[in-house]
Amino acid sequence: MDPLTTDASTRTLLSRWRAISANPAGLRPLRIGITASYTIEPVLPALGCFLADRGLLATFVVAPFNQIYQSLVDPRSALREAPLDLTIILARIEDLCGPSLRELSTLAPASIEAARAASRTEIVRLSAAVARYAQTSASPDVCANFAMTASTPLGVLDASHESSVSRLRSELNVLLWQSLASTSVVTLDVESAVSQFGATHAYDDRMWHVSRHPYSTSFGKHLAYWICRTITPLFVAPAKVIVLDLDNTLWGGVIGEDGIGGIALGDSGLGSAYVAFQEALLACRNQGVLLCVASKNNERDAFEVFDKHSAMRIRREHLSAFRINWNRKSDSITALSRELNVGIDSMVFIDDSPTECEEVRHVHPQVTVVQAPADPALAVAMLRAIPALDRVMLTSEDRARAEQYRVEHERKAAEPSADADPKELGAYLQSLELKVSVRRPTSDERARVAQLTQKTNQFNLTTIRRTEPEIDALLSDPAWRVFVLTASDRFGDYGLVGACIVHTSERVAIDTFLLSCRILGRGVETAFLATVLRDLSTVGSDVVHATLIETTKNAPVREFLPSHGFSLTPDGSWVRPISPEALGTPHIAIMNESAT
Amino acid sequence: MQTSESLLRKLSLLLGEIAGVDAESLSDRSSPATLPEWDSMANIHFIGAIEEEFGVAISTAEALTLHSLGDVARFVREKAPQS
Repeated sequence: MDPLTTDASTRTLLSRWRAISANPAGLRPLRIGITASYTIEPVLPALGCFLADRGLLATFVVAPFNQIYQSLVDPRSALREAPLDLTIILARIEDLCGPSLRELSTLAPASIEAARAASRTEIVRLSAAVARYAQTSASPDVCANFAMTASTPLGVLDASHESSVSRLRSELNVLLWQSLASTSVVTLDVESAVSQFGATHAYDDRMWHVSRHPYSTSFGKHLAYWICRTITPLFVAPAKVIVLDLDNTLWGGVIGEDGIGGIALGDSGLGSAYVAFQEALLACRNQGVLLCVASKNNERDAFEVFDKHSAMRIRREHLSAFRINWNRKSDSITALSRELNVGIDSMVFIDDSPTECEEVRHVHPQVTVVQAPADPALAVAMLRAIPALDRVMLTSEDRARAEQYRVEHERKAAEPSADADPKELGAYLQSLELKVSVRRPTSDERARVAQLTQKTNQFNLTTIRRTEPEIDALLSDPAWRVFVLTASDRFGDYGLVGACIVHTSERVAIDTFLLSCRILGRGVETAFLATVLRDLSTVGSDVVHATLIETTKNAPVREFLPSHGFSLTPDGSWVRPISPEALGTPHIAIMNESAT
Repeated sequence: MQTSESLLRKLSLLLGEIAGVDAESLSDRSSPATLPEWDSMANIHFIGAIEEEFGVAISTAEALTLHSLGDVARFVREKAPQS
């Protein structure tokens, strides 16, 4: 079945949704709880269809209409009792603050202030209920912000008058945003959804009077699509790499024929459209998406543009990898995927040529293939419409990822070959000027620790997976100590690349010891263990226990325990003295000895 | 111009898809009162779909007084005689 768009008719959406529900093979179940201040049911078939196109089978638990507080707070509400993978809260100020909004139109100064204060109180109450609900639920929560209203009682006067509904709405959005900023609640940007669609067409008062559903049939589909794009990244990993063609994609014209002075790239006209597209791509890079090139060109011609053209925004250092040759693009994509160690299914390929797009689509059906528009002015909108690139939560690791891959590229170039003599390897490690810091995670690092336990397969003693709430629980339990390791060298930062979890009641036992593969081969595991052991010396035990749980993927960690002074005990576990003797790493500077 | 028979047939197929019932089982006398699947949600989708498929606009009063499939057919024919 071809993916549906928001242009699909109501009839098509309903038939498709019925077909999906009857035969959901291959889709991952997703139980969604919804509480809204209006009738939300009309948008659910479209939402179900769009989620199915992303591999998710939605089932909905809808709380009674306009009972947001009751459903969030009452422990016996349908939402609180149902096992859910996600909760969506959709409130409108028209419904929550209706009397206050009407009071504003009296224009009496005293009632204006009272109405504004009452509205603020209502939104504080809403966000407190949402925050409390989020604390008790182990699954993600998504809360809508407030869209512009269909119209304002003051019309053209609204923006200039102190009783302005628009101004109050902006203030309430800031208030909501501030109240939820310290929680894990994701904002559903209904404000942008309505604005981009156009409020005139988004609302349909007939629907309101007939069924207490505020939106037009066509906007209902857009809202469903917007919800789908907001929640899918919480369950389906977003694309990690954009592979770009060059000629007529990143600039206008063909560099091999037109030369550096002949291509369209600059401050005005067509050239500025390509510049705008490049800037939009760099914004993706800042969110953790790696930029790569797959182009049929002479490498020298292409890099002349990256290095010398004054209007280029994407520079050579922004590229995590490239294949500029005369091979088939599908082969270049395979090579890029191997070099970056990123799955083919995490790649987005953008090329203006329908032939190249077809070739890649044919060989790699898992790649998201997007044909660049013939008119470059449409390219930015095209890029932002690619759902595979959507992200709703960024860890600081995501933001730094592109830079780390570039640094890794430089490191690789400096690294001696695997068969180099030990002296050369030692000199190389010395030259890295490695620094590590071992400490307890800060509150904004909990997500990264959970991510590491879920994603690390190779250097991982036990491969015990944990969610963020589970990490949270360990941090507040005195029987556990959680350590993280950050590292850097003269090339740059590695970021938070190690985690160790130790159980300290009864006997001291290492529950989890893992390192990201990008830090392996540098002796960091030894420095990590030594620092952790120094911290554990306060526990009052002479020995530390550890377990190795072998998996098909963790061969790199199998020699770790015996090579670090652990001896095998009859019950299959490992034990060593807790004092960190014979664990020296002279080439590594340990920046933070006190991990408490 | 089509006969009222073929308009009723088109509307039956449409309502059948919307409400998930066999179009053959529908007649001009089918109504929310006789058809449990024609609930308030199906009614909203049906109104939206009629507007999309036939290019007619339905007023609030009309939406509230569509009682049977025969009513709907008469109403669509008045608004869009070529249907």
